Amino acid sequence: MSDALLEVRDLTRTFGGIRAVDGLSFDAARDGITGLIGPNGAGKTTVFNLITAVYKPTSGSIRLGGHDLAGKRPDEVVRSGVSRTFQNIRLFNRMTCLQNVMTPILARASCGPVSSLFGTPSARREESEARERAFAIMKNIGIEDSAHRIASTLPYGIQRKLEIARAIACSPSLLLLDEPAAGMNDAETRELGETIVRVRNDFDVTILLIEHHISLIMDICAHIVVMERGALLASGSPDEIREDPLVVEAYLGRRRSGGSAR
Amino acid sequence: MDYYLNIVLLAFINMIAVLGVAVFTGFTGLFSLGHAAFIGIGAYTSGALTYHWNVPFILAILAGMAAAGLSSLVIGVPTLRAKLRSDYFAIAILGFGEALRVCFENLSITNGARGLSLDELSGPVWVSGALVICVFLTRNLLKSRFGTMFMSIREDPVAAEMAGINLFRTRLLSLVVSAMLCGVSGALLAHRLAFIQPVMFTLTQSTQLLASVIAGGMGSVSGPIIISFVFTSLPEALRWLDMWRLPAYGLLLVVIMIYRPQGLMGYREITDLFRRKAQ
Ligand SMILES: Nc1ncnc2c1ncn2[C@@H]1O[C@H](COP(=O)(O)OP(=O)(O)OP(=O)(O)O)[C@@H](O)[C@H]1O
Ligand SMILES: [Mg+2]
Repeated sequence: MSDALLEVRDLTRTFGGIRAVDGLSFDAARDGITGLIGPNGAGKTTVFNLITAVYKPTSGSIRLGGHDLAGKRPDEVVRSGVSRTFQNIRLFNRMTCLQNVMTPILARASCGPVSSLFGTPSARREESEARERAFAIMKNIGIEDSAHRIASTLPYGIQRKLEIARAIACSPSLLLLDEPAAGMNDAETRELGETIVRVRNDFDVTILLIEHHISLIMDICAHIVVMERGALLASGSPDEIREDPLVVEAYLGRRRSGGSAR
Repeated sequence: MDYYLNIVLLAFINMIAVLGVAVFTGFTGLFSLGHAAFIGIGAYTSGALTYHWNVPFILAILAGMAAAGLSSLVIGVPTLRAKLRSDYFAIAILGFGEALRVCFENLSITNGARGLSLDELSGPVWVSGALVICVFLTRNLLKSRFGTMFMSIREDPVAAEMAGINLFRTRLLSLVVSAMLCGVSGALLAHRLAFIQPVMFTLTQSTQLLASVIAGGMGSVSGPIIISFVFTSLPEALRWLDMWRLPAYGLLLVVIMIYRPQGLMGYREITDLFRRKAQ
């Protein structure tokens, strides 16, 4: 067995004439945090959508723990161990924080409609186990105080964390985070970084992280993949990436010179 | 007295159907302008059984329920596969309802457009008993993992799928449950009115069911039930208004939508209100 949990090979996806992802290959090391960066429109979110089967690849393959994910439905991909957050937060808005986190756990539970109709003891046991596990996850992320609040009424920072909590509740081996620190200031970003590292340690997950906060990426990622216009521009350790002339030119440089990319 | 009792029983029967639409539309977030078809199937299945073969009433009700559930699979299986396009279902069920009415009108077993005259079997015990059982079981289901899954699909199907939920199967379950409730309602209705005709199960009735759920509050069981009682009894209570009855009814709907756009109960239950006061 290789030490790469996720292996992406020659992945291509076109939308009409646009090659959103163009022959991309990279690995995400087991139990590591891999950064996925690149300018706006580079195709990062599309990579997440391909891994989670929201889109079908035009060509190429995606393997998780040695198994090809081709042909699976999104919910099957989730069950085989991938979960994600969304660039634009997608919570179950009119449900409580607790219900949001319980949903993936209940989705995996086994009792059928008939025992639910009659509220059998086994159905109730599953329910209370799900509640306990959801509370444990919320406590770890630090949002248990908001457990009974309606998701849409929560402050932005808590909503971001709630999305991470809900993704962990899927019991993933691979967790995909799409710009979790978007819209956060430096202090909040640093705190989120600590949360992500703790999540990796406490829940034994491999993390693939898209972020525009380069400092966060440099701080917590062991390995960084840089994309530009759908293709791989560079990959390596934070130090290698920082020194890479192509990356400095195409991405870091442009940001430094006033962030005209956005 | 009999007059009022009859109104109350018809309101109870209507509540069971509204409960079905509450599961499908209020909790799962899918719209239907065709659930009257399932009421019709429940009514005709049970009616044909008691009329032609003297089948015991309880078996006729269960058969009506099962027939409605099975027929919902016929429309649900092909249309609910479309992941993010619930409009396929909405259109298909409209056509299904119309096709069904034509069938009822032309079959000999339904006695065609002339209708079936039945025995008045749905007495107070049957109707209130059925209502209590239906409310109890539906509430259990909605409080279970399936209720949570239904709501998560209503809130965001993409995120629900990313929570590991099979959208197709879960939506189909919601449809079958709601159709079965409508089937029970139809069986009771047929044997309350003691007469059924194909024209009784039309778009107007489907619209009323949907209006009850929206005005009562999507995501609430008690809200739609209360509203459906008001809606069924109001036309009778407002008889003195004569021809202004229907406009008054429409006005009430408009007033509710202006002052409580989330519906009477919104996403809560009436029991929550008492609980809050007690704290
Ligand atoms: N469903 C779609 N249909 C058509 N084009 C799409 C679709 N999804 C993505 N694209 C295109 O693919 C390209 C890559 O988009 P993507 O969202 O993956 O970029 P990104 O790297 O996540 O950017 P950002 O940093 O702004 O989030 C863009 O040009 C985008 O317009
Ligand atoms: Mg993106």
